[in-house]
Amino acid sequence: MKIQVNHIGKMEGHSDFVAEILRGDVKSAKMMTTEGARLIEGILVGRNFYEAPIITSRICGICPVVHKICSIKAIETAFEIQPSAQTIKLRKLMLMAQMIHSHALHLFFLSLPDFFDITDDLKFISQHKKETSAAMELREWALKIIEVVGGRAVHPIACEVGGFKVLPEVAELDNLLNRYPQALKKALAVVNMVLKVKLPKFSRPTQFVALYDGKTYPFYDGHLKLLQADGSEKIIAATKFTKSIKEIEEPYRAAKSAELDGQPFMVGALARLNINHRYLRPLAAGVFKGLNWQLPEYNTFKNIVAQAIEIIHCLEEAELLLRDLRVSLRPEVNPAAELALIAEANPRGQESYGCAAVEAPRGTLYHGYRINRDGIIADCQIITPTVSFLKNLEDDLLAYLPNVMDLPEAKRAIKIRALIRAYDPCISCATH
Amino acid sequence: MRAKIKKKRLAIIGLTSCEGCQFVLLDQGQKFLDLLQHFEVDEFRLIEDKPMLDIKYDLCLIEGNPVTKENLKLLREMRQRSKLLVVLGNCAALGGVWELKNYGLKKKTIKYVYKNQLRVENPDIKEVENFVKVDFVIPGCPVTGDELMEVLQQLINNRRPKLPQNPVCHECQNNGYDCLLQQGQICLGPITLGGCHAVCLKSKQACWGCRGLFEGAAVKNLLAHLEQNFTEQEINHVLEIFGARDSINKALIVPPKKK
Repeated sequence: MKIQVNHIGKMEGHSDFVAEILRGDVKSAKMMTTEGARLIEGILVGRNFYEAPIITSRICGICPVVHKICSIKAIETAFEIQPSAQTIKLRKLMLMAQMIHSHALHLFFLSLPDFFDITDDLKFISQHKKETSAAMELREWALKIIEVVGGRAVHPIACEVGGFKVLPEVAELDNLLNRYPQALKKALAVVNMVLKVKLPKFSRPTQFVALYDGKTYPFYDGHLKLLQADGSEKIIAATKFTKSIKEIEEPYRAAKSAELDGQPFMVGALARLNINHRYLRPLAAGVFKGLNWQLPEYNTFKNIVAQAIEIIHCLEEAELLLRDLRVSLRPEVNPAAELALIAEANPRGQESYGCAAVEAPRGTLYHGYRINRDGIIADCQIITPTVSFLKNLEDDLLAYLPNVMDLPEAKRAIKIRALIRAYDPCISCATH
Repeated sequence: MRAKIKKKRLAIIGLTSCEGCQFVLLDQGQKFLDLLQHFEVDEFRLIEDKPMLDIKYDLCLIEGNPVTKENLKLLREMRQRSKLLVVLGNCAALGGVWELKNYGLKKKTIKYVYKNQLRVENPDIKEVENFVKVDFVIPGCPVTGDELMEVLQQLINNRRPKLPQNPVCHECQNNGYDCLLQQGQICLGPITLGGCHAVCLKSKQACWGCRGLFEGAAVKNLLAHLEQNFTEQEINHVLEIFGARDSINKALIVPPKKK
């Protein structure tokens, strides 16, 4: 017998799900991605280094900020360029806004309707007008931050290797700060709705991976921390990621998948919360404490609760950054650009390699580049969060299917789609 | 009870793309919801999960590029089922960033990404108009929110939209941004269709032509100017990024038709 769920909507990109059942046992569970391959890594070889952040941001329309920043950071590592403290703050502010608007979209519009058994968002919207407008206002505030700092919400422009081409106006930062209390209020309305939803019971131990610095809840920088299923922990330098993570090609899909030390692993909001919950900002920490989770939490449906907690944390973080930047912002020309050091060639005068990791909404994202002495990209590797968790998702589906096998077909399909969507997969990213 | 106005039926189809243009539409927030008073949206996979309906559409927006056979089948089917087919964004209109592949060795490029996978489809990247008749183009990478809403408003009112045929320079100068061409950069502002508010120039990023040529663009003049300071390879490099190189080359051979 086959269980097939075709054209899974309400997520980025296109995919189907197929499971094979033999005498009542689930033999295989496969995510078949149907997105075309764009071959971005191949395209970048032979291009100028400064095109990489612009081209890779086009990997994904919902998370262009993280691709852009990760690409820039990797190139800066290759060039041994240290961006200014102000540049890092502005990038972090963009990252916070990226998390908020992506999570709010996923939570409210893509995932939440599943737990009300509604397949059409437009119907969901019409039934929850107040919460819908709260979710939209929250997203609008976050999108505005990216527009103010990056020049545009989808595919931002102003950030480049070394720093920023232009800086925001202080008045614009003030305006965002003035609207913060309202944004927080709207966020709490959305979060409360998520916390009230009854999620399916499900648990399957796995290993979690996220950036970790032992001081903060990091998105921009840090080492990789592994929280293994037996409770042990391991730290890997983010620059060593290609040695630990192996990408796998499967004959049934264009998207690759990945294993860490030969095992599937989980990334994203749930992984981050399991690893870094101690470092949440006060409001987020308070809400999280009220959940009384037994940690680590292995129910991947709760990824949406983790996203809700992160929305509050990222709002608090964004407020602090806005408060800081509105007084500390100095007119500052990108020092690398000013020295015309990196206009064309590799400033080190020889071929060099650099890689970097950032936390994207869906999990840890890696970019790595080898750049020749003339500034031309010789090698490029990008591992996206969805590639990272695809095998973990398949293993979860394998474990979850027996729970829903006896349901009528239509109902079963809703449950399967709900688990897949709780992961917030981005097939566009996965099939870059 | 008030009589309901008969809504137009709208389909929004994403082929292979980053889906950023669909997000520009969603990011309109309340304006997007207001639009739904005029449109019955049946196919918008980003926000719904219903089985595909076998019905006719008044309007179909196509985003992305037909990279897989499935994409192409869907594109052809939607053309047949739609009165108007409008392409949304640079990928569908000009081929998009992925078209860079066409200028390299296609087989080498796929080999670089997939070491073993021989079944991944690897066609030349072509604009949607090569496969089906296109009624209107909303350009840009990504599309500009207010322009998109304006075009949709025109279509609601059964008007045929027309984009003002001005260069990006027009808006750049009006907004008082620095001229990067004069500062010695390759900027395609003089030949690229405006309507984007010169958003890249605002951030001191030169125009790389994501919106394509405007009618009557003096392509030859700009290229002659650029050739004084840059090699052909350097110029082509910039023309390629958003898929404008092939249409610019075409414009050099046959002057664009006045519509």
